[in-house]
Amino acid sequence: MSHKPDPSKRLFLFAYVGMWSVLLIAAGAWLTVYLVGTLGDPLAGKAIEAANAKVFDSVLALTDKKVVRYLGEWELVEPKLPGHFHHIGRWYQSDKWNFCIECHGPIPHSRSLKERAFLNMHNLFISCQVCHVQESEGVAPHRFGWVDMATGRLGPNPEMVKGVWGEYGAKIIPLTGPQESPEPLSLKEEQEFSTEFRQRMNSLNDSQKVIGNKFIHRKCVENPVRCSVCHDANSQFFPYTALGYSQERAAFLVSTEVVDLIKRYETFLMPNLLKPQQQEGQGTQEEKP
Amino acid sequence: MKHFIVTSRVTRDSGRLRSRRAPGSLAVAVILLLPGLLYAVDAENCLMCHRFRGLARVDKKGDYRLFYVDESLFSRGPHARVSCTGCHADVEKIPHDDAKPVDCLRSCHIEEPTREIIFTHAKVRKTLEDSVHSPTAQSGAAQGNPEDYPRCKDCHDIPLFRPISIFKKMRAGVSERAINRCTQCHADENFVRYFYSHVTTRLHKARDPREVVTMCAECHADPAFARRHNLPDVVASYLETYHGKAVLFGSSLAPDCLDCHASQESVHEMRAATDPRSSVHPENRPAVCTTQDCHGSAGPAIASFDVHANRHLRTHPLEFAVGLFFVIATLGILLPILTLNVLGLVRELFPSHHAEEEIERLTRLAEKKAAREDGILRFGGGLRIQHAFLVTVFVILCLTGFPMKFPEARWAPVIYELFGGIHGAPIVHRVAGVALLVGFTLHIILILVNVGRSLKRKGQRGLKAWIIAIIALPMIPKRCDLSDLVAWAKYVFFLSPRRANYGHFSWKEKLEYLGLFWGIPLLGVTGILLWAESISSHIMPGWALNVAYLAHTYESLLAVAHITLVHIPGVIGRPGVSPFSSMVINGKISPRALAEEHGGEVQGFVTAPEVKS
Repeated sequence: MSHKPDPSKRLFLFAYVGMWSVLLIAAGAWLTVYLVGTLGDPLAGKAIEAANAKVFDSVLALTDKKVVRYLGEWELVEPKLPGHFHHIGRWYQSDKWNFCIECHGPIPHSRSLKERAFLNMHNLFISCQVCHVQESEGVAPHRFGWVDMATGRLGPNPEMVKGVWGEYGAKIIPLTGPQESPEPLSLKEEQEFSTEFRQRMNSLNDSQKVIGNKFIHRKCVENPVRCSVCHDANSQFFPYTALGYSQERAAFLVSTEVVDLIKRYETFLMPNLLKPQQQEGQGTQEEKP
Repeated sequence: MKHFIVTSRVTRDSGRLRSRRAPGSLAVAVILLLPGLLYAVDAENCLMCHRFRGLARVDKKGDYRLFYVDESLFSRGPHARVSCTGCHADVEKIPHDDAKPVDCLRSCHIEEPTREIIFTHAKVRKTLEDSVHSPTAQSGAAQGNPEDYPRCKDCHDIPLFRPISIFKKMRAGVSERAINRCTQCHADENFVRYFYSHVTTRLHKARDPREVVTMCAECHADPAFARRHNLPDVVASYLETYHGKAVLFGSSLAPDCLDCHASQESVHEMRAATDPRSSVHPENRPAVCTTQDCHGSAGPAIASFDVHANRHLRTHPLEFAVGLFFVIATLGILLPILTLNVLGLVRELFPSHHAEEEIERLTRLAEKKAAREDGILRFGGGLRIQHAFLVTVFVILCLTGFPMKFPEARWAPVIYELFGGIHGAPIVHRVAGVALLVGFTLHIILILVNVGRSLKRKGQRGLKAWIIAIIALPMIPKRCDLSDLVAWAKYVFFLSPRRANYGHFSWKEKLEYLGLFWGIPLLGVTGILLWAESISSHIMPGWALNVAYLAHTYESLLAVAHITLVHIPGVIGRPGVSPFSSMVINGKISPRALAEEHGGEVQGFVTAPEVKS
């Protein structure tokens, strides 16, 4: 308040007064809105809020909800699945590394109606490349290792803790490169292309989209590896014990129990694979409530 | 309600298990190990496949279907002894045919031990068909929007045990003492633990009140659902009561929806409030409210307290009127003062030449007095102590009261836990409230004693003399305060170059002081009524508690808003004073501040002979 104040002091005064003014005006505005909002029909505001929710959000937000069970000594926090009766505890571990997931998601299988859940289950610990990719056409992968799901680096065999099924923080992946310094089959060129392809998707014409899509999947095989290839006592496709499975578990995975189960599925599926019309009919039947 | 679910002390993606008593990994490990000790039946070896978390698909409609079963969680509830095909009865071969939805009422379960017959939930069917949740009316006619009526899975997922230990006191968890005694005769410890958990879960609420409220809110907090069935927003109104807020803070003692709306016989026995058999029918409410475990000593009038009151003019005109009064009072008082204060701050940037010279002149006068008297004492020790007491009690009341006003806010439980949570903070709040009332009473007595002494010295007596003396007290507004207010408004609106020169107390200070005479008694009385709700119900109707609650909550907001938006910025927010005024410590005011805020008082110094000389 001096006649010729110091410019820096005056600047400070402006900032100070401005800060208080903004704070007070904001607080006054909030208070007004809050107090007025306490009167009237409480449903009216909610109805407007619900009406404004986009379909996109309302469909996809469901998977992000949580539910809590308060059990005295402990609390269970788990994803909320509408209409699901069993507790699930948590979501499965997600694959941050493999770029296939970016488009296909963690539950990619949907065509084989009876088989798809089983195939998705294997997605917990087997990379897409194992069944769907061949470096050279007709040459099935024969060397495998474990790749870290977060970093994409090859690592040692994971510790398979008792009671943990298929969730090891790593996935089995075909190996490539020299025997002494193998690398995971990572489709680097396709991944880089895919990243740019998705970024420029809106500017591409229909033909370009088809061509790009084909390029990304150029190493994918028409007939992926089937269940019986791995779960067969006579097959040497997967070196289970070398991959860290116990002798007991390795024997079980190719045991009569498992093999018989797979036969039932494959026997059931084969006719449908040959008769697409029947498969469509079956799908229609399945979707009936 | 959506917000409530997220904010009820739940950390997003915080993991599946959280120990409440011992958050360390050891406690979690113990809990993880326990399920292995409980019962689980999988004779068909379904878990060979279904134990994999990724066993899932997305069907044609976009519905996510998960076929995973968490063994450890499954074994921690009463269904642990039921085999998979006990419920999924039509799953008979591999690959499975399309399974029908599970019929929860079928006779498929384990043997009921007391009668050695097959167990079934079928009895629930009859109860449900006669309840408000039946899609068929009593007349047999179909209700409108039948798809809205709940099926088993809409309210239930697999129940989990909530065992309790009762020895010298009740606590959550299994009593190892009891288990050891049981296993003296019953050799199978797994069965003993299962049986113990099952029975003790039934000795108290099988589900936490938060879960129950969340469950009911799925439908009853949905505005579209409410509109379709012509229902009010019962969840929001419930959550505004002490019942609802206590539940939000995790009290398992507070009543949830089922405590009032379900009969003693079955939680599925719920009827419309208009049904004479309903527990919430007006004729039955007094008995429900005065249940021994709830408001046992209350009078029947407590039943007229409306748990689901809102402030909608059409449905609750009284509550609307009370709310409107306080909204107008709050905004009517605060907004004009706030506007003047903000404009006053802006005016500080562009002071008039006259005002600057006037303040410089008054400052010099005040400085002379300060130099002669070693500072200018504005507040003596007694007043400073009273102020410190008021500040302390006010802060405690705010910290223990505001979380209760905004229980869904993330900060609310954090602050509440500092005061002992829902079972401690309300006690602290009440103690602080009583302290404030006592302090306020002592303050009034002190004033009256001083007035009495003054009258005695002057030899005046009688009511008229008392009234005149009280009106003459320095904190009572006078006509000059109105002219000061007008002068200040003119100055901050740039209509006049002259600042208002207030005397020892400005109109703002007098207004705040008088506000205490309105706020403290109002908050005190309504607080006591709500605190002693059972006694209150013997002297007034229950709906008076609705009014008391509204008055308490609105007035508390007014008080806090005034202190935070007017008092604090006005006293310590002024340039040159902040960040903290030493006046509250030593009672002394700086000459400059005195010249700016109490120019009229400084002008009075001129008449003093010392200053003249």
